[in-house]
Amino acid sequence: MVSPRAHLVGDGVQNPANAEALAEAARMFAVPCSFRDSRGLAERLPELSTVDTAALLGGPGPLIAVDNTPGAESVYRAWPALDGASIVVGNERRGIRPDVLRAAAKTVQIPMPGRGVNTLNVATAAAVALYYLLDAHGRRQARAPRPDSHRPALLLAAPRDHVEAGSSLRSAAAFGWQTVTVDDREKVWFGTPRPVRNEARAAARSHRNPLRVVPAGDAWSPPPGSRVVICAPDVDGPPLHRTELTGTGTVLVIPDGEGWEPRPGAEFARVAVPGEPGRYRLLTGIVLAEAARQLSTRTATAPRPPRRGLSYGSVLGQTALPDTDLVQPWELTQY
Amino acid sequence: MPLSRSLRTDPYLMRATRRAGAPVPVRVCPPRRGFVHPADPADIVRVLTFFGPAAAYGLRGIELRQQPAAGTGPAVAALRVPGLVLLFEQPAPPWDLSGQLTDVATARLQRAGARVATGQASTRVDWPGSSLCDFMLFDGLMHEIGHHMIQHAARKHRTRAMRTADHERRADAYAVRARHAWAAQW
Repeated sequence: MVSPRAHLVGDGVQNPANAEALAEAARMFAVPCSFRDSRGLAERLPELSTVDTAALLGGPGPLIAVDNTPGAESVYRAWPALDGASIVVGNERRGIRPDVLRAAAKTVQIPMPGRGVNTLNVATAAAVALYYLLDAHGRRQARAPRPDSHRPALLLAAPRDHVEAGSSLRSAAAFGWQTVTVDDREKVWFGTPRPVRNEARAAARSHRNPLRVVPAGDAWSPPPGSRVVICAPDVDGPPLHRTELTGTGTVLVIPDGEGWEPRPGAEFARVAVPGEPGRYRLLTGIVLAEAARQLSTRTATAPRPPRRGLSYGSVLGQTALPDTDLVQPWELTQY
Repeated sequence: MPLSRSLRTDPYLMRATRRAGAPVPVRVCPPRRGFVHPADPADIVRVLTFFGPAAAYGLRGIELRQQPAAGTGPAVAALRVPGLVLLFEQPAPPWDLSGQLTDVATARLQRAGARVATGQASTRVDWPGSSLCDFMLFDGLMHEIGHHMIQHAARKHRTRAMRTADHERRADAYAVRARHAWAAQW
């Protein structure tokens, strides 16, 4: 039996819908998914695979925590995960628990420049982390921060589920978009019954989401002279992370399924994942993360990078190091 | 008695007292396995409370972080101007360091109460009692606050207020004074 290249672990995930979405994110990247259950998730979804604390912390591979703790490394700059690594995402509100953070070989975060909303849905965050830690090799280099005028316009084309649409709008706000156009031909966002509307707005975190959502209308067409890039998992085009997604006049179109007819002259970018295509929020999360990476805008709360700013450091100086290296016993047990 | 002619030119201590605001936030990133944060947030708050508004004036935050990826030796602390102090995790005592420490680093550790035994290829550092916590609080935190006060009093965010050697000497002298003042209360 071939051992999987990575494991996805949900640490204390509370919402069953999020747990199912997380399992789907794992299937998208053809990796197994398990949950450390501390909040009764196993009783509500008995088919989910669970892992106990000892197995999680004492596993053979390194632990990679996805959490925005101080000092966490950007997932865009992190080295690809080693074979057998466990990639851990945490509870929706509290994040990863301290014992995992302590045991983690590396903590990565997804930089988010959004101001009102600065977090992603847990399954979306897992999909983005898996994409950059496992699959997005040979990506375009983001050389320098680009002005916000290079940010592409965004069209969510025919989303089929109101929660998926809301979660995608949350991701758009978190990655710094201020206006998003929605082609709402499935009637999931505008003019919906109150229960549907409430669920969709809750998924979008609309109480603090400053995003402006514009209906596309039946006769939507891109502005004259614009460049349209359609991002989907099953299109014929270069991989997403090797396609130029930014630039003045660029329109990113993310269709949900195959019901949306592309305009002639559009370019295609393929969201290349080894497993089955995931749900809409996972797809939009990956596309928006890649566009944000290519823009390389700074996060709203991040301080000035240390190389540019003035800093003073206090280090215990050492003379020339010998060729040997001291290894602690716990490092040997992890080796 | 220091006097001033305007609110802008008044001495640093008076200005700090007048402008003392919200407490300095202390954020914690848990240490990795085999490492500890010797000084916890409660210790830091206790020291900042003891030294009053002059020590906390202009500070934007204190973060307990994991060790940075690369460096010439074990990192103790850092200041990101303006006003962010980073205290790094340390190996759980006793320390077994590969190689030898410089004379300056050895003197610094011994001043903090550590017992340093230097061998051919390694150095062992024992930390009796609460000496490691005190080392982080004074040679780490107060040393960086010394740097911060120099920059903040000079109102300089992007350029150094004085040459680096002088900066380090004054920050070190501030940390030593702070240690003596702290010890004098017992």
